[in-house]
Amino acid sequence: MFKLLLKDLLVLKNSIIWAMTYLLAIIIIFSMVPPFDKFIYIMAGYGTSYILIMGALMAEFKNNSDIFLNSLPVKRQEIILSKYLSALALTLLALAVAAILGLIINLLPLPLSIRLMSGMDAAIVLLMAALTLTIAMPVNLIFSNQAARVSTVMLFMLLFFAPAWIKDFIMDNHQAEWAQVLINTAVSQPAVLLATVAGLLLLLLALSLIISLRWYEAKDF
Amino acid sequence: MNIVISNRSEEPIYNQIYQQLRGAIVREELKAGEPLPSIRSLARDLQVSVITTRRAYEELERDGYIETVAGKGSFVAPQNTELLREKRVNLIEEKLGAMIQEARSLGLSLQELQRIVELLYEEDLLMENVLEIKGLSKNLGSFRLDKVSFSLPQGYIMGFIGPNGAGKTTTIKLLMNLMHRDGGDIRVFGLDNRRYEKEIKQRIAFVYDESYYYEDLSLQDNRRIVARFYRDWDEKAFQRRLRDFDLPPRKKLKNLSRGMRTKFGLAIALSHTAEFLIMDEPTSGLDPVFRSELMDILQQLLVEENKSVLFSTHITTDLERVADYICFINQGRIVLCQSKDEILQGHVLVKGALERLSPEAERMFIGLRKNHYSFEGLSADPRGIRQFFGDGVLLESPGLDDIMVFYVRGNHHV
Repeated sequence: MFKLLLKDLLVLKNSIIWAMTYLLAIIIIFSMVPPFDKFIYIMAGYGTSYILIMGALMAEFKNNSDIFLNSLPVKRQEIILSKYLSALALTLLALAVAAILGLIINLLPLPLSIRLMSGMDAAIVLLMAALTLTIAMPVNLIFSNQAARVSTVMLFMLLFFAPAWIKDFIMDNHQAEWAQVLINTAVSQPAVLLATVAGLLLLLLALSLIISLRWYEAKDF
Repeated sequence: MNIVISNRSEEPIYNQIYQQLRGAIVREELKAGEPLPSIRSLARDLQVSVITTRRAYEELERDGYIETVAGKGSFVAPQNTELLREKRVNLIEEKLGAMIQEARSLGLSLQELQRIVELLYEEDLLMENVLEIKGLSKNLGSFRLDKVSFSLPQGYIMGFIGPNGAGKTTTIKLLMNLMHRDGGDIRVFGLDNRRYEKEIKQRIAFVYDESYYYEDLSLQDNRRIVARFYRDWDEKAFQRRLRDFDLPPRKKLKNLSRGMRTKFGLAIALSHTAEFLIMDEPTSGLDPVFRSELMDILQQLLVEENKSVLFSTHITTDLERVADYICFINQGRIVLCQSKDEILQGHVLVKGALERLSPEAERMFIGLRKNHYSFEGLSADPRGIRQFFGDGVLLESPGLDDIMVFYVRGNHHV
């Protein structure tokens, strides 16, 4: 399994440099654009992890590497599990680099004012990446065509801008009963809200993994 | 089960059918109660007369291997395996007795005979098959792989030939577990290819018709990816192959020509001490110089390292020099599977004036090409052809290309 993870890192060698440049650009640009400045780590972290996750999937698709991978001494199950694990590893890498860049920018005497990355930023990015993976992986495996790519780009756009929109939507309706419940829970028990969302997403992720495994196991190349 | 008839064999055809069916029953490949194909359908499949298959069935029934129920067909009879074994041992004793008699008449001593038997027995043990495919089936809708069976002994090159779309790649994909089979059995090194997939793939190497390595990476990076998967990766061998094949390690794969990519695939394949090399159309689209070079490499491999090779191609000229066995597949079925020499010597290319071609003579041909004045045809009965035509026609040894073309096109030549 570890060999397959290393394979993804090697295949993404060039994409990683470009994704990190993107990450830096997002942090710098959006730090000056309210209200996005509040979400720079979410946008930069998620955007970067999206580029890397989709880059890994596209590299396999472009090279038609299923035939190559399945000719090596590995099992189909390991190939799919490694795809999910490498997506997690790439998201963690994006988060680590975002956190370090934020720290460096803060330490250097630059005309930029950004906060440090919080645990909540990291948790939200992980959840968004998990949601992307939940949908993108089986869609890419099953369809492997333009439709799969278009649907994942749409998903990315939705998730990229969704945090800011959701926040605005809740604020606009803050008098409503549901919004009060949500705001109260978010303020008094943020961990409960996050854990509920995380639990739901983990269930979906497990379902996605089962679908991907079954599909891939039964596939003829 | 797949019955293969050899026209080269001195054994009568009915007896070849008898022996193969009896063998399958004794080995319990055909189980008690299992129906046999009808006499007529077997005759049609084997392209022999109904009289021949009927005789084989009668002999099997007489010896108690099968039972025939009127209106229902023939079935494998319930067997006493001990009794069957005893019968087979009796048969061996009979044959050995006749041979010993012949050996004594030539003045061979008992010790000399014992030594011969020992050597032959050891050789037989060494002749294990690296690949055994039995009754392999796969339905792909418009195409069907139909009970494909063949085997490859260790240390030999088998050319797997057939026209495009004949089933070569499907067979190789099933062998590599890239596809799921509908029926049959595949054994590599004596192991089931699904159950022992990882162990088997450690010991085999593959070269495909296209490069499936990562195009945007250099050869060195592609090597880094592959090498980790093999226990016995031999870096020195890989570097030597790169030098031998003039491959630049830092160049990206996408910047290499098709021939160079195939060479890279071969360099990778030959660097993890694999015992069995599977090549699926590696020469398609390549120039004759490179193809010849590749054949030299394969030949050298066999001499130096005793590897086994399954080489699929539709360019049969590549194989004439290097292959030991030829397995010819067409429309998803094995047409011929024998040693290359047996196949070449068992066929004859006949050219002559059209007036010499009677309807009776036409039946002796696998395929015929006619024009207004002359004909050219392939026959699997060289002796019969010589007796029938005498010196009135021109007889030539066919190439694998001729054999493949005539079998595929039959009498549908322009």
